[in-house]
Amino acid sequence: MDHLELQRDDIGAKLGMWIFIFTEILLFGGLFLVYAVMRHRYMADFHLASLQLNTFIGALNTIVLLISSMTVAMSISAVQKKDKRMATILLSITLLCAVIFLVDKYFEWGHKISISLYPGTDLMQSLKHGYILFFSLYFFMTGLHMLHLIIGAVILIVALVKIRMGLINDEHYVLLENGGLYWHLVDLIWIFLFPLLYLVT
Amino acid sequence: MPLLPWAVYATAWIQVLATPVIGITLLMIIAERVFHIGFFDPALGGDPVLYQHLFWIYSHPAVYIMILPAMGVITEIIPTFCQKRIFGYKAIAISSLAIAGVGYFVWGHHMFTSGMSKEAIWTFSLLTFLVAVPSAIKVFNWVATMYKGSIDLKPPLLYAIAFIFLFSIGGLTGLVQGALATDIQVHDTSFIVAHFHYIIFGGVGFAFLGGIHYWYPKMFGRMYNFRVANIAWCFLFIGFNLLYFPQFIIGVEGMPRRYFDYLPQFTTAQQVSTIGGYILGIGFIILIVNLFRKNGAKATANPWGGKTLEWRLASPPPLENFATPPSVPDNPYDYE
Amino acid sequence: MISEEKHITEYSLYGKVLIGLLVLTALTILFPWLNLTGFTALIALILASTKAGIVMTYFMHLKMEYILLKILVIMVLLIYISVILLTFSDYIFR
Repeated sequence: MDHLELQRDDIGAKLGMWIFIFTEILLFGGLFLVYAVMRHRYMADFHLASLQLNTFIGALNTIVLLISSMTVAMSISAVQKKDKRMATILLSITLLCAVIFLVDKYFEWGHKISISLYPGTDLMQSLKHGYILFFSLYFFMTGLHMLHLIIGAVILIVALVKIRMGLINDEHYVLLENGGLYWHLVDLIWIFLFPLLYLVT
Repeated sequence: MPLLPWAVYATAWIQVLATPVIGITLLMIIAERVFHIGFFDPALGGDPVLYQHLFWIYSHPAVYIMILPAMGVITEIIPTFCQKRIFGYKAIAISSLAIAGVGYFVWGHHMFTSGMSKEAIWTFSLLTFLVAVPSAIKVFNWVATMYKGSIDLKPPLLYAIAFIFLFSIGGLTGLVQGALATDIQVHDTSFIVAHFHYIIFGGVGFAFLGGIHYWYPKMFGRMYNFRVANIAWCFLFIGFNLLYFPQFIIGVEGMPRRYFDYLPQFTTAQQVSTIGGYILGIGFIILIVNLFRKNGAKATANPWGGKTLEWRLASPPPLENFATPPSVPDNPYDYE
Repeated sequence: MISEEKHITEYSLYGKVLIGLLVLTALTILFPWLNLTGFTALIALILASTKAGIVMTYFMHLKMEYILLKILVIMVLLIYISVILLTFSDYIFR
């Protein structure tokens, strides 16, 4: 055991990330299942409760995340083209989009919290069952999504640092690809959350 | 690829796809307790049956996580001690994947009495009968492997044969539970307890012990005493059956599960069960003492005449196993 | 066994995909105004699934990946959808 060849397996690394994405699909999948069942039971209440949500901010967040998905995908092409500057710009835009999303969420949640409309308050307990369930799902699902968004952003920050340091380059970019895949997952979840929470008719 | 890796591969898929569901369910329970979010609480508009759905969507695949590797171990042991290639290699590999796959869709059979719709309960009953088929295929293939084989009745094979017997009883009683009418009678009785102990202890447990006895020389470089191992096996087998078989009978007669006390008519069976438990315990002590005694003969590389790669190495294997990549034959069970 | 050819996707393709996604997003927002009640949820899900499919195919590079990965993704999605349908076999008929 005199030589330790650091075995590199980019295909394996990416497959591993996809398998992790499968677990995330099932994780959020459980939540979507609960949502589907509850919406089926309380259809009218869900519609009325959903009107309390700010569709404009929801739509803005959707657009922001879609743009960020594009920029992170582009950043991989940039790295492949050895264009360090472009890669940096694109990843920075992605991270900026993440910040915008979080700021929007801060305002959304902040508003609800300021009017005492969050799980556990007396106001919440006094509402009809369908309303309580809708808002519970709203906070739980967007909260868990937000947590994943923050994790994804951290991974991309690490990728950005490594690009600047030259550790991610046109020969060696699987970390960026995997970070990108995770970011796309965050986007995918939101693609479903948006119509199901904000556009209930 | 030998069939143990196939079994473990199928298990890995179940773990990947089922475990997140229990994760999110537990998170929801935490939310319910801490934030008064009522997904499952009827007082808050939730549905407790929804919790059951989510719980069993994981927990049924979880039992396949338990049994598939065990079946893989048995599939390794039998060809070695019959010096014959496994019967139906492809069927066993595909059955492992089929059990994993169909196993995702049968969870409702734990909920027949919970208040689900009629349509749901007969769908789940049908799917449950379907999932029994690949397991049965494996049992037939194991027995077919033994047919006209050169049988060497060493301890690992004793455990493997016990597995086939006990797992079959467990599996057949599973069909009793899968059929809606009979399930109403046996649900929440000690029949269920006996069923899953036959599968998990008689199945997974015995396969595990068989695996220990099979790979012990390879792992620790020493043989163990066969006579004592066989005696331990006798105690385990007899004790296990005395412990759990009566529970099938009193279950059908109405003995509920999760009760520590019982009606007088169940006394004899319960006492037989208890004695069985003690015999089982003695068997375990004999087994462990036998294996812990490190005074057996030094083990050769291949004490059993196995054909899979681990038997080409010294016992215990050297660090990094093979110095150069080994030549892998087309057929992992190349006995003829 | 699985070889990876280095395929560099042009920026413009990603731009076109984004435009497609934005159009679908606009459709998703505008559709409820048509007031098709029962169908709106279904249409919303179909639109969202289409968007998701596009993100997976182009942004997540599935189009350029080996066939096994594509099969695995489809398999996982099918398993998940089956679980939802089976659960609903209980709730729809209660």
